[in-house]
Amino acid sequence: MRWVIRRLITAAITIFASITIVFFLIRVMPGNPIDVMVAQLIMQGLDPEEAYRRVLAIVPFVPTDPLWKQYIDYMRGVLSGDLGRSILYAAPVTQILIYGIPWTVFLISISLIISFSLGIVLGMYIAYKRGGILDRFFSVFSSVTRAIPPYVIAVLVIIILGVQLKLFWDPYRGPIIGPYDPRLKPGFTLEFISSVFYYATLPILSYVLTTFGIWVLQMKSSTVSVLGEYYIMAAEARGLPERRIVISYVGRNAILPLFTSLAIAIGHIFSGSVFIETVFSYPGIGRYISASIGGRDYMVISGCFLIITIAVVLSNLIADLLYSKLDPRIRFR
Amino acid sequence: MTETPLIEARNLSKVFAVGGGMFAKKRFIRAVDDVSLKINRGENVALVGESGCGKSTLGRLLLGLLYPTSGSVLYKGKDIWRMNEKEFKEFRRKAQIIHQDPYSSINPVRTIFQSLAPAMIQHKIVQSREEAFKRAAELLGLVGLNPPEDFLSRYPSRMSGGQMQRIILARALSVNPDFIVADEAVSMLDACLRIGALDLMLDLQKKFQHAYLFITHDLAIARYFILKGGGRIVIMYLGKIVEVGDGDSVIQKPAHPYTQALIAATPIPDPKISRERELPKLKSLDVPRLTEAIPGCKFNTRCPYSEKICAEVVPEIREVKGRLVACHFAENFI
Repeated sequence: MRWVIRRLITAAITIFASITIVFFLIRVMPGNPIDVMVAQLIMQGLDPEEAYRRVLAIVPFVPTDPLWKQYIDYMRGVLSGDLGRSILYAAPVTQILIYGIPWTVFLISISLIISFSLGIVLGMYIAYKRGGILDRFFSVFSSVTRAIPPYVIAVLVIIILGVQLKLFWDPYRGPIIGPYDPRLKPGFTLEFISSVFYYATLPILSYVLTTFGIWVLQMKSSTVSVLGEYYIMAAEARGLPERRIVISYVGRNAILPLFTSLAIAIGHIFSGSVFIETVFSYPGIGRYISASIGGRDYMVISGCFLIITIAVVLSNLIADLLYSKLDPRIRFR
Repeated sequence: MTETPLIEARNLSKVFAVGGGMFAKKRFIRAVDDVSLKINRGENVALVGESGCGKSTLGRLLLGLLYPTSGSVLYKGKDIWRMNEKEFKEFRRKAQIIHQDPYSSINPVRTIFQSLAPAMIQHKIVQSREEAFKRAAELLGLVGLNPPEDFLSRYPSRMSGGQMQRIILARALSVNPDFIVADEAVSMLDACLRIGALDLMLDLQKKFQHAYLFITHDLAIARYFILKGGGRIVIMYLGKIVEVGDGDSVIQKPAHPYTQALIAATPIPDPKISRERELPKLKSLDVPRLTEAIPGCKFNTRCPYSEKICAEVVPEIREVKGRLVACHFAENFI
């Protein structure tokens, strides 16, 4: 129990540090939201001074305040649950996050489950048949998918499955992108839910394609090392059924080191979501990040990173707790 | 010998392919080369040879954990690879293994009880979990782990090497085997624990009446084991059995030049003697590459007595004055 409390305190410190770093980092980026908006208004034909006055009237913070004062104001807001207002969307950041998080969690969790389980099953399979065709294929496959950026894979998936094969193609609207068919009314209808899954197929496929090759290789090497252990041979000699050896002797031990990677993978998959959600114009956290960075929408950037930090810290915490349950060698004081 | 041996190797060979990637040529290692060996009920056989000579491979072949390249393994006169499923299962129960490294021999994520119980239940040695618990505790008591209940709920990470070695012995015995391969079973224990472990193995043999194939690279341990428990010593070199003799006759009066060299190389804990002792008179001290095929007697490249025939004709293993030796000139040495 004391261990859990200690971990929670560390987690809080991590989150606090991350908020601080993000706060200052985005403010030293060249350009700021006021410049971006003024430039837009000037393009629309306003004269510079008028544009500047209007923009100042709508920005939610006082740009003339010194940075440390802005920081204290922001932190005070965060602690009381107010993440500020978006400049681009003219809405509270919390509202944007509440809208975006479910979409991202939906995509990420399904993708992670698919790619993790696929990786484990395939990894164990090739470990048993090492040296075979599949083994060689996956060694190449996973280094290739690792090297190709996720947005390239996403575009390839759209081009091949959407545009060329017309499997994900709407005769009126072109390739299937977005969260669901805009002609449907959101609600708990079978039609709407199936549309959500249909629209999510390609983004999920892109995630899985970019990540599962690594799971395969990790699981393979982990399985191979467990297979070399004497207790596997001894279990065989005692005549335990093959199924039992594969699952509760080999699998159980081989999967352990992958749990740590799983927590790290959650952080990775968020960074992938920035690209994949943008390519698929999927209304999740990732797309808000890329849009808000483009418009220097400080509050939204901070809010999104806050969510990602919390997700990564939490998943690490859960992975550690799970690990101690799964591996009796690890016991916390 | 008229009785059917408990386990028998007939012209057993195992060839491993190594390399054979995209660029490397495939090479072959004859780990076990045309070996015949009989082990009777309750008998002790100590298999001695240097690292890489194929002794572990032979042990695994005899247990049916490896499929032989050629030749056969007979259990009570039946070829184990031609048994039906039920017979093979029974054989699996009857033939057990004890490994060198006690730590990697037990599944680290299971308690001792969880490691012991499934096989006993699987083979219907016990009918229920409660009975399995009772029997497991009994076994741990037999191998000297007291109080047994305390050990049953422990994880392997919380035990010492010596305790683990006892657990592994108990685990092998849990399914009532009649043949146990002890593959360097005491090599990882420190010297003061070794004798205790060997004595324990032999004590349990008196109770359970199983046979041991005791694999080791250490002549001294083999000798202790055989002198105390009775049985034979088998010397192996590069996949072949070169000499077999009752008791420690092989060590007292080695017939094969390789055995002679092996004994001459055993360190003697007395600086005076070991300083005056000559090095074995070998042509070469290095073991030939395992992938190399040596025609004739495998030892002829190093043997100080080798003649023309040694490089041409493979010496048959034959009886010379109550000993089995595979050497053309065995008579000269006995």
